[in-house]
Amino acid sequence: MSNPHGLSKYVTLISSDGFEFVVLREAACTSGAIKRMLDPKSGFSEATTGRCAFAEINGIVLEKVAEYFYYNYKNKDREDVPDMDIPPELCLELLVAADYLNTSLINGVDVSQIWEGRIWAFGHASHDFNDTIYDLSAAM
Amino acid sequence: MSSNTLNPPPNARTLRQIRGPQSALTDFLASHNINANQITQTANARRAAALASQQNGNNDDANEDDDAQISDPEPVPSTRRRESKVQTNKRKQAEEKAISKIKASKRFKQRREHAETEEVSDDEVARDIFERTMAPLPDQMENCEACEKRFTVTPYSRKGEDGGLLCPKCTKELNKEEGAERKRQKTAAGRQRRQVQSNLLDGIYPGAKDLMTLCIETLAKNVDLAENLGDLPPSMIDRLTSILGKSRLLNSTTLNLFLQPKSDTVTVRDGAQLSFDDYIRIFQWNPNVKHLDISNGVQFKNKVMDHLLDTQVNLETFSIHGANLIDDERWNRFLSEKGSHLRALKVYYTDGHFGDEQLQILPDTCPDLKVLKVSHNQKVTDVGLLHLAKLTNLEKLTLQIYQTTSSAPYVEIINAVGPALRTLALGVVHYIDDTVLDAIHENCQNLHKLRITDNECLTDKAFANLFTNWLNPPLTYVDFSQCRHIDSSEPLNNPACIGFSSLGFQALMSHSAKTIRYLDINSCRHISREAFESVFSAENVYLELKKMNISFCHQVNDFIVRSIFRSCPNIETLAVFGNFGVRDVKVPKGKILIGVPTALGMQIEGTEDGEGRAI
Repeated sequence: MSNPHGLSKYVTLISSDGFEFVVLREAACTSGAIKRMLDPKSGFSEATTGRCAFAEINGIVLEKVAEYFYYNYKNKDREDVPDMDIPPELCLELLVAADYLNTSLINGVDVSQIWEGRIWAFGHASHDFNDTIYDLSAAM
Repeated sequence: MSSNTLNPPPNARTLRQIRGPQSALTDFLASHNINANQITQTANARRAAALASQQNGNNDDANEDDDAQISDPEPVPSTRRRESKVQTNKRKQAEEKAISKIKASKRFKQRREHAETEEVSDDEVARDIFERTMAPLPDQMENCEACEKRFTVTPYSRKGEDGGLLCPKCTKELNKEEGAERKRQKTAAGRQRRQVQSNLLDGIYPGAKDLMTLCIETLAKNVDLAENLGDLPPSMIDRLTSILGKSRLLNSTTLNLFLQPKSDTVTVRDGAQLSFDDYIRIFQWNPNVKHLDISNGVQFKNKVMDHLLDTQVNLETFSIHGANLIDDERWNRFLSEKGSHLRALKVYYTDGHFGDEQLQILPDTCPDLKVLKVSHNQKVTDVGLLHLAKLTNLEKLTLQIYQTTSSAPYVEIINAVGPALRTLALGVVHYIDDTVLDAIHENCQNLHKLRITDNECLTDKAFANLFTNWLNPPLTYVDFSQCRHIDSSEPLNNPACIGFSSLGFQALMSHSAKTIRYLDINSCRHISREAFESVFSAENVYLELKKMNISFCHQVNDFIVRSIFRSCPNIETLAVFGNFGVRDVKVPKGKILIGVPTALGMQIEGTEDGEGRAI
């Protein structure tokens, strides 16, 4: 159950109403917040016990979060990934939880930045196709 | 010609001799009354007859002639004509020879590569190819595999379960059975591939989405069920409005979700479906609104402006896009009555309104204006621009004027407000000259973002001078797209060194190496290969560079793109449209290269540091 660094392979997530979810450490570390909590260098009590309690997330939402961790863990090296099913009634609570847990680290890249980036990315790019066409004809 | 045994029946051929061109052989055979078609048809008929009789024999189980056949340990397949054991062996040998030949062929190897994932043995694949090549050609007759009826083979004839062909009727039935499912699978796969490509163009690396995106997308899909959004942070509300706007879901009902009386910000990313009543409601529900940002706000018209003028709302930020129904009189009233509170004013696409007159009163009515954007404007001229020089608090200035403008007003503005400017963006300035660049060099010392696009007068020397010994700190955002020499008679020569070219590029990159995040130099086509190579050589590293567009810089090739990936370790998106020297580049994991001029169009592949992807 433990790896060379002396850390257990699994960690426990505890919801506000007392439900406990035992999750693969690597999967749970999708969340930036949990990753920082469990970092042995941080010195938080969570890092030593391997138990993270969330006073603001209830069992139903935390279950979905745990499901997402595994969904993301399983699909991290794949493309064409089918979207995970999210019940509309949980949507808002889950959104707040996702914001709190900062689950936007994929492959170590902060996806939210990419998202923001796309608004200014190539919005202004106007490509000079006509120029190329006459350049080519001149070259021939 | 005298008749002989091969003479066709008189009706078989047309007697009128209307025919297309024929080969010498056909003519020769015809002169001997031999007709190839005729021979094939008779042979086919004979085979079919033989087959039918054999089946009858099998069915009856009483035909003595067939005793030998029935007791044969290896029954001949029913579609085959009767053959002796020797013939069977001979045929089998020939078949095996053909199959071993197929196994050595190029086509077989290609098939193997494609079918890697499926667990099919070599033998099966080879046999499949063999059967395909040996299958009757279109226009020949064949017996249907399912119902045994004779039919004419067409290129569209379907294969049955045992490899034989099916008649149109059986094909139809089989299609009906699989029908809907088969079609759906095909289109779903196509859509998925397109979605991946679309995401790449949007700069989204394919793979599992993050939970927040999943939630916001689900929320957007079910937005009609939501009653209010509770205490979502503004950044998320903004993302939600963006997604709703993109899928055109923002209407009178969903607008309510974004009108929270406590909030001082209202952002409407796509107001095309809102009526003027909805815009009036914004001010009624959010009387404290300070920052208003409306895109596609066509119905934000005089009536709404009148209402705004009657309320106590004092906007600090007002961004309005596409409101071409507000006339100049209302703009004057708005600026004079509400202008004193304005810190940022952004006006896009106003067609025949908002011109020189409004710019003239700006310095008096909006003395505290820090941000001014006048974009896609058809009315403003040089005369109006001159007045902007009096806006002494200006920090960000963006102008995109469709009327032809000259250098003088821009120089005047930069001389007056240049030192404090953090953003200077001059779009579509066809004819401004080097004096503007000199003025920027002399005056601007706080710029972060600089854009000068679509120009054909500025010289490379002036760009180089701008960035040499400039007191301004390094820039973060640079856009010099389409600053290039244009001469349709001599497009490749640029004797006067016009446009953002080699010298300017090298000077820019050495000036802003540390901080540059975004660089757009598309269509700056006279930048030399040597300049690219020296800028992106091994010892130069641009840690901050995230996005770059080097489309239509014709000297860019595979080597330069590889050098860019080496020199810019944090780059996310690189666009290389129209660079025909880029053919085959290994793209590091997590980075997006778009616009490669191959049939695939774009690709991402992994390298040694992890598995990437290849489309």
